[in-house]
Amino acid sequence: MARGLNEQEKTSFLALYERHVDTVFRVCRTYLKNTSDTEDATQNVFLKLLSKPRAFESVEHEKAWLIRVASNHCKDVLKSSWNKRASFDEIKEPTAMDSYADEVDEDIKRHVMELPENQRVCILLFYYEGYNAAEIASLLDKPHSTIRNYLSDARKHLKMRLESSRDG
Amino acid sequence: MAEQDLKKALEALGPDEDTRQRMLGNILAAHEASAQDDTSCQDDVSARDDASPQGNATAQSDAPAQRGALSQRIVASTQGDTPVDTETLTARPTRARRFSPIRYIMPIAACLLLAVITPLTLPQLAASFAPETTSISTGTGTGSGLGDTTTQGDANQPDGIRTEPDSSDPSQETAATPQSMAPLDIVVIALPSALCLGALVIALVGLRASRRD
Repeated sequence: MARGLNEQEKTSFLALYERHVDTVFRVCRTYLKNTSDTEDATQNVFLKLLSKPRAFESVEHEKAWLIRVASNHCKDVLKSSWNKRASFDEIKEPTAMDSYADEVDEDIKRHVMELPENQRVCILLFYYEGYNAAEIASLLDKPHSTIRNYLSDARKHLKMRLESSRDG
Repeated sequence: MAEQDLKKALEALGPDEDTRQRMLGNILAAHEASAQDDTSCQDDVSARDDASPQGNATAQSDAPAQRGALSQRIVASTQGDTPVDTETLTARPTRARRFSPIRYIMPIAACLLLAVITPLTLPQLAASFAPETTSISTGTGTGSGLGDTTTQGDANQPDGIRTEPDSSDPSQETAATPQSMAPLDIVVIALPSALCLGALVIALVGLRASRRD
């Protein structure tokens, strides 16, 4: 049952939010691809934590819990028929006004988001969040070998796509 | 592709400061709203308890005590020392119910399917387990097969002489089999059908009851 937060709970929640909101947002966005769904999902993940407070052993533990909850929530959202029509329209095509570095970033970002869902999430958790394959396997509840395959396939796809886009 | 480029691109997936603050505001507001909803529900319970003639224990302000008092009152009312507050006992949470066609169609379809398939398949199944004698139950060469033991046109017998069935001859026993099969057919065909139709009726009655809730 939800109840109002006292000052101490509010302070500790704000600290937790500041620590992990970026991670949760990125995980949700990697799954859902568009900003409004991502914002909804991120809010729901933190609301789940607020409605049923729990004690974490460490900051890493709370981060892992949040990633797991975010991942499960996003999978549920994607299962819903309403979201089948959602398209990835958030990342803009590079224009002449953008600098070369921005253009490269946008290019990579676009190619990452075009990867299959599982590969996208693995790439984010491996390259950005710094988890190794075994940790990702435990977070996403998948076999270790599957995660290694996802990572390997994702690297291959990214390399191929980036090379072809630069050649073209 | 440098790993740094990839990392930079992934970093750009994060929220900006405005988004962060907006989400935080929404989260806190949603949590406050749900907390207030819960509080108002508890206030409602408390108000009902105060209005009752013996609401002495329920006038306390803390929520666990209110819940405890409500359950005590329900228990007490069943023991007869407090008038039954039918409003409290019959109050149901008002929650919007979504119509789900599958919930209604599936049981009916399953019952109809059973009602059609079972009578068709069970006789064959029963026949495969039945004793060998049933396979020649139609009888041959003895007329109607309904216990008519008079031989017709036998050249070896003088006219007018009736032959009695030889009870020791096993081939004569098959003539009586069709009569003994009839109850079996009734059990095999009619009983499953009746059971399935009964199940259908029960499902329909259950559905009506669940719609009334």
